[in-house]
Amino acid sequence: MTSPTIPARGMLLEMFRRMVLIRRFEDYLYGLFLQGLVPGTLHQCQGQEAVAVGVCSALRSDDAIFSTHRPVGHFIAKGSSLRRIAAELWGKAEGCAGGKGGQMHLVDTSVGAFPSNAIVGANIPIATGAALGFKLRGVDRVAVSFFGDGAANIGAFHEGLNLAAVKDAPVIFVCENNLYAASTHISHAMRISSIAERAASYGIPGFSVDGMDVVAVYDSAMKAVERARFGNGPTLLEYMTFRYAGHSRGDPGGYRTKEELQRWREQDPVRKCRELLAQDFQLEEADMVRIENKCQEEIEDAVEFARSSPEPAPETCTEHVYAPSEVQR
Amino acid sequence: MTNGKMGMAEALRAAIRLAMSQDSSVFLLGEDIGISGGFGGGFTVTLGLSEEFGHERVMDTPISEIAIIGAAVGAALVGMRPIAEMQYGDFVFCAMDQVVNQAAKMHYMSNGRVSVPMVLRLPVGATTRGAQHGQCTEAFFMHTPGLKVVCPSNPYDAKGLLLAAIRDNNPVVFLEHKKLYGGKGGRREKAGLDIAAEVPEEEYEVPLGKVAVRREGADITILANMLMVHYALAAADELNREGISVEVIDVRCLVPLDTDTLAGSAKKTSRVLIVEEDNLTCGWGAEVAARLGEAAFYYLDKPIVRIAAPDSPLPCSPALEEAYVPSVEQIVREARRLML
Amino acid sequence: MPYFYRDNIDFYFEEYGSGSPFIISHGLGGNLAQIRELIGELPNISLILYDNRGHGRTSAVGDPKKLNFSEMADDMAALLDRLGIPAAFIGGVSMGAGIALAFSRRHRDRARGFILSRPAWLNVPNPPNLSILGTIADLVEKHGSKSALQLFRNSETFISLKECFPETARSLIELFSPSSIEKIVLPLRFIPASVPFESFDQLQSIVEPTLVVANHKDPVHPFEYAERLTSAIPSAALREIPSKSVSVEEHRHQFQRLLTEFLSGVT
Repeated sequence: MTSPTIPARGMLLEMFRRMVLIRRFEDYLYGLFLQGLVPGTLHQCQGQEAVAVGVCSALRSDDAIFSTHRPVGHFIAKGSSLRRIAAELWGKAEGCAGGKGGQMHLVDTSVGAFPSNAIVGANIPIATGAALGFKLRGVDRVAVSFFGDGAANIGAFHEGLNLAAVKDAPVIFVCENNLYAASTHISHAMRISSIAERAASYGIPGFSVDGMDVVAVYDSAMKAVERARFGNGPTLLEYMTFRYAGHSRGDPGGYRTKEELQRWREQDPVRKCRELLAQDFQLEEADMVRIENKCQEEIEDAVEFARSSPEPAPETCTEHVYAPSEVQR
Repeated sequence: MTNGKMGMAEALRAAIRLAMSQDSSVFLLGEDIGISGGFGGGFTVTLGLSEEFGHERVMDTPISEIAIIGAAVGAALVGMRPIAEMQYGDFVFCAMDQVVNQAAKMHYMSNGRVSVPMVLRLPVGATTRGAQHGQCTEAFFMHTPGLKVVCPSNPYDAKGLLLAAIRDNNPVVFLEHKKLYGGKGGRREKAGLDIAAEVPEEEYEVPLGKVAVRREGADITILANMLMVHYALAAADELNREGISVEVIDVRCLVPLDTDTLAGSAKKTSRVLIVEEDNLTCGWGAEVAARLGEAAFYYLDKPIVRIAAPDSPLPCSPALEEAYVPSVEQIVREARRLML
Repeated sequence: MPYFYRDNIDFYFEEYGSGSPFIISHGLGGNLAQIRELIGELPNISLILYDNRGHGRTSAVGDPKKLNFSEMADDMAALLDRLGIPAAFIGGVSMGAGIALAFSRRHRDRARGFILSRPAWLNVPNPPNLSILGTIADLVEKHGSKSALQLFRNSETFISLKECFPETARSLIELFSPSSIEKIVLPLRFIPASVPFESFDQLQSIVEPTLVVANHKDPVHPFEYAERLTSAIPSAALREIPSKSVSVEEHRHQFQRLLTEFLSGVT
């Protein structure tokens, strides 16, 4: 196996910054949640940052991503506004979905992030359709579907991958395999040990990659994006990763052992990236601390914005059920 | 097409052809819709279109209802105008998540940031094929905020409504009754109606959200859709000979619902009879009856009556289907009772 | 995006500099980093480097039957397609020179000129100057790369090579580095067995400006090959530079100078 291509310094620095932003934002939210200050639910992604950032760094801003009930990392990685994400989590009018979507239904089409989906696996055929739309329009945009190990067993996975394969859709299927679907370990849900194996059933390439290594994620994602963008069809990428937090708020994760968690923490993707920057790019400790502090400021500002911005007006409850119907020619 | 007339399948095809030639974002997905030498979908509606527009825009899919509708949602999100076809309307249930949780809710959940301008075409109606190939499914979709629901009864409306549906920026569930398709030869529906009519060749739209008064009357208002419109008209003829003046309204669009026109008619005649081919409980008739009860209560002389299929799955045997699907006789009988 | 996809293989490539496009291929067992080190930047030239199938960061070896000059020339053309470049200067070092010659046969209209550095093939498969490659492939297949390397280092052939031609010896050691046996053995077996061109007649129609560069003191890249190619190609000129075994610095310096002169002379 060839070792992955290490990105240029500037790119790696930006990846580091985004991973720090995700990690610290999620940790900050969790702290607030414990104080009872977060109004809604939280599905957090600490530990999985490298997948979000590695994949999104291989995309253009006009490429489309379709995320899940755990969307915060993907949205930050794609460049979405922290303030608008935070406000949505607080159900405020200034949230990216006006408070209508909530934590599970973030949206930011200005960076190609379509509404995230809380139905497991539902975004898989949707992403295939978006890719087909790009293909029909003759543009070289690609679509990415994010989903977890649990989704690999739902019908939409099968149908979505098969249709994409048959039609050479420019879509990349990204499975964040964190070994647990809610509390169910993957060994109880499948007989095979690697989801990437399923790619063969559809006649598309499939790869299983270390999801704790942002460089490996980026490298494999780039290859898949290249394939899709230039007419060579879909790829299934399986990233082995781990979520430090429970499935959702209030889930203490009693179905996993401390040892297992500890083993994965030793592979911490943010720390590994930091070390890479120090060793290979001679980044000074002071530089990295500066980046981290800046992220912290941005996070505190975003949450402050969210907490102090106004609630949506009650009348807006029934707005946007239907799209306006101007005739388009 | 004979004597410049066309059946509903042809009219739908004409609408699709027009839309596809004008707007490159319109494309079709479904099973067996474009295969060369094939049958143009379950009911010939897409026959010949792949020759004209190619196999990319007339996209044949595997048997994958979830992917068909899901892909339509995705394509619509990025600016295409897909028309997805279920080979039989009953198969939509394989993909209800994509219709109800995805297509219907995306615009709202995103606070208007994205929209899903797609059409979902469903061939419906009992045709002695049994319970899983003949249900009329409009009630499920009328109940789902975010969807529009259209159900033409004739070729002229079919073409105009489909064009309007394609251009609408919302997901539109478009029901087509199999017995109204018309058509010739092997693909012709046994016991189908021949309702071939003059359909203008040029472009026109029938706007969504309006019902159509098919026959004016003073004594009873009959509300019906699809095949039942024709039965209601036949019943109206018979009742007319008995001196009963029947107003027949074609409820060709269930969402948005033209409650004003319906209420106006109810207030005029003070007797309302609703005829639908769907199961009685929670059919569209129940919703309309409730609305008219609110809007016209003090004008009604009799309770609103619904004729519908019984609350059972659809039987296959022709004799049983006859007992199941509302008939002209049933309509006549209930109308006479209303006049007592 | 430093990958392009062809034939089930993700090819790694790099592009830098700006100006006329110049694509140049590395040698057998090598990779684009070597070329990058050798050439650096050239004025008014957009350099396009890539790892051939089975080499460097290119993910796969692919079908062994496609480890031949014709296929590799098509890979090079595919990269030009991918970058939307209708025509470029086409160059190569050692095996790369062979690829450039195959390119001249198969994609003539895409070439503005040719740069053939230290050719190691004429039109005879498995030439004697490359027999050492077969020996190395045998060793690796039999003993695995680690032990094979040790055996090779201790062999008489290597020891005498190291004395007279230290750079050649060093470059042969590099052949043992890929982590998969497949990646070591398959190119070494299949590529020498193929030829860049069939007959010298085929070279006579080359009218594009052609620079041939070679050195003495290089057992793997005989100077006479460069001479014979130069006489067969009407538009070719031969330039000699010092062998790397004499001075790596000088070799590099002179090569860069020659390239700069040649390319600016033509553009």
